Amino acid sequence: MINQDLPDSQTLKILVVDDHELFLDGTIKVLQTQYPNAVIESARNSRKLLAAVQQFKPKLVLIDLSIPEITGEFARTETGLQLLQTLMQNYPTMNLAILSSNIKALKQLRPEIEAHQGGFSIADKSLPNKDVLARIDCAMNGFTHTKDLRNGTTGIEIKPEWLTVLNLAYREGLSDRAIAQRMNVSERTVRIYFSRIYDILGIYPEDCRRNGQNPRIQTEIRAREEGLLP
Amino acid sequence: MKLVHLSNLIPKRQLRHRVVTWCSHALPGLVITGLVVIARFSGLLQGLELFALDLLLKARPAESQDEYIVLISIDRQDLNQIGNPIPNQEIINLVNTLQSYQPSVIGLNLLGSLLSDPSSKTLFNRVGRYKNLVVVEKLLSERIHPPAGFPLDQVGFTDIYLDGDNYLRRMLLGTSNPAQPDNPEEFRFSLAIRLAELYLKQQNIVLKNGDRDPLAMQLGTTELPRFLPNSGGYVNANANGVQILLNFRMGRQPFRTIPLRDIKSKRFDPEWLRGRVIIIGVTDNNLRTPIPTRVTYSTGFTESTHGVEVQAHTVSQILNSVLNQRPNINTWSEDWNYLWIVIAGGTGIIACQITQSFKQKIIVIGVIQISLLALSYFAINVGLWIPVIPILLILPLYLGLELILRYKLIEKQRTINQRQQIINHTFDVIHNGPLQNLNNVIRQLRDRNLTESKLLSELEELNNEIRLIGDYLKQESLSPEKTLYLHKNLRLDLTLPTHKLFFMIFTNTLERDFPEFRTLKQKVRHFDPIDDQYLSLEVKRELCLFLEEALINVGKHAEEPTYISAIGSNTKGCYTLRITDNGKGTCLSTQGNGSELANRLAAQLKGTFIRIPLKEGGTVCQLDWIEKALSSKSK
Repeated sequence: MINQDLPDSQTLKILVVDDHELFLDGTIKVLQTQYPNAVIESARNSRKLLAAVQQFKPKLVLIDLSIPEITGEFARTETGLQLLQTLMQNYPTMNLAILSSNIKALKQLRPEIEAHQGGFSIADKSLPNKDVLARIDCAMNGFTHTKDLRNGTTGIEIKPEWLTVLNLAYREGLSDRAIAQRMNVSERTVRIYFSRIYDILGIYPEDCRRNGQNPRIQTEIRAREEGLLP
Repeated sequence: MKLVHLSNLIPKRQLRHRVVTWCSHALPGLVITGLVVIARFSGLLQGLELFALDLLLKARPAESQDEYIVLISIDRQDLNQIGNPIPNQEIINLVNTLQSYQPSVIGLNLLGSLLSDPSSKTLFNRVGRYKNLVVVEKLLSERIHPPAGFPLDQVGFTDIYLDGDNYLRRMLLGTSNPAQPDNPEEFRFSLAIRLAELYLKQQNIVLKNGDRDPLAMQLGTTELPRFLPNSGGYVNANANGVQILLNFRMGRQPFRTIPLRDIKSKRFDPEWLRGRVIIIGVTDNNLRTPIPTRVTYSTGFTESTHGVEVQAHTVSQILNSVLNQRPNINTWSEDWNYLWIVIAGGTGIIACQITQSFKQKIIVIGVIQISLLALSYFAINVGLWIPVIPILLILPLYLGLELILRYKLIEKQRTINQRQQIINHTFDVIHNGPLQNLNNVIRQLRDRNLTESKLLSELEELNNEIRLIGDYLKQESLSPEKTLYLHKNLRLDLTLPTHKLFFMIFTNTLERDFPEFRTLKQKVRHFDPIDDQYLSLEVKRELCLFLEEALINVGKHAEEPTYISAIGSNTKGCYTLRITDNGKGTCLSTQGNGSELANRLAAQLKGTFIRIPLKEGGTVCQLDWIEKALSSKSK
């Protein structure tokens, strides 16, 4: 589990932004059912959202890409992308869940998404509710789920750091702390790398829980299958 | 997503459109006219306008020889005979001889410096009794006294004002004495006006102040138009004293000239002298530098006229103006001049705007220019100098401007047409694809002929189709210079940051079906951001193509690689782009087009490119450059 620094109590705080009233209401209802103790705030445009993040300090921000900058303007994907970029820049450890009908637009932000140090998940709006919720939960806990973004691309592309982590973990059998020392980064960073590797290999904590599997061992199996570990 | 309410936008759009149209029509003309007026007002066009005046005057037909004036010239030959400086006795003899033929007036245009003893009263004693004799002095710039003894009203000055280009176009008729500028009794007159006045006095025509312009000179009822600082094309000229624009008498020999030696040997017709204005002067170029004139000249080979002849032109102009109504050179007031420029220029511009085809416009302007010239020529012939150069400038300048604007408009229209085509195509695609499918679905639903799974798949298909349209529109809106075309018709927007382009190219290229990609297991990539401001779109394009080519080389020539990496790292301002693979073959067989690109790019970036095999097997292909090295290139 990745610790998020919660200010006071363990109150779960979620911030949602969507300009479409019906959808927003529906989303909030569903979220409330899933997390009965959570405090859920909403914003209708990107400017309000940025202000709210500052004040509200949520654990997760749920974003619809197609939003206006201020109320009354057209809703545009560009605005959502800009908002996402700003959030990732200013709150690098914030957990983010993206809900959009235009997932392909996120392709431009791939480098930033890969470098993000908080949870990150993407869900296409056309997915059934339970899938969407699963992904939101994934991001809430600091994991990564970007399967929808990689739909259609063949093969697995990885960052050099992740390959290093795989080698250190499975060929030399190092612990997270040792890996962190060797790579000269924090342990937290190593755990984030792992969450990215899980995502790339299609390993999701919920699936593991359901199937009774250990994610780290699954990783080794999948990595060998894909040829990432010779 | 909110719906667009177009109806709210239309009125504002129309108003803006109208204002823009009016501006686009009237503004260029106003600007050009304004510029030309300002140029004229600040004196930039003066030289051209004076030159135009000269040409117009010069083009006039020849006139008959003046019948009022006779010149007695003393040239080199005469000087050799009589001596230099000229002895008083020669002058005395000459004057006495001339007077015996009863001329009307004699002007002795010999400055004191030419005479052998100017300060003595010998001359005055011997010829002072003649009341129709005028001697000369110089007042301004240098002071040369007249021969001693002569009363003030028998002395005329010969000072002249040359224009900035050193040519003579106007004559000074009267000026206050620089030694006593505030004493009206000391107001001096030029030789020419003295001679004219004396001649006309015999016909009871007197010199007085002008009726309309009190500062001008008037003889009888003929007022001589006074030269002002901004007369005609002059801007802030020196209009001190009383001056008039010189209306030279046209013709090769405007004045009968008798050399001194002919007078002495009596080789002339007495009728030539009777009742005339006789002016005596030196015409030797060495002794008396001729005065630069452009309209007519008498020295044969340079544009200049002898001083005595200049005096003759002036006297002739005055006499012919009073007695024969030969016109002087008149000008409109400054305000009327500018008004004329604006109106004539404006008319020409409007005429140009009305005509549609470019050829017609040229013809219209050509016709206007020619008629302007004709009008100016006609006007000069009746003694009116109207400004012509500014208008001649306005029309071609305007035409040029209109040409440029029109070209821009055509460009814009072309882009609009392109966009319109895309819109039309999009409409067709929507109509023929998703819309039909949607109608299909609705119909089947109404017929209760649709299973839920079928509905789902139809809607997914619809979703996809509409999304594709969106992608298509986005791609089409990129301009060719800013796009890079990749595999599967993917267009990259070159204005995106370079490292992002690298990401996309990596993914796109590795998807392609090159044989050696099939064995790849580890595809590693990372690109540090690059400082884009020093890279032109062209260089970015080349960098992208370089990366693509390096990856393709692996796909073609590496032998069964399992690992490929493309890493871009930025260390202290030095950027390294390294593509590595572990295939067994070497990539040396790429000296063709391939390395050309890489080497050229390295040169452009002032960096280095290497492609070398690795000892553990595989190849590394590396391009590095120093980002700061590019900042000296301004882009």
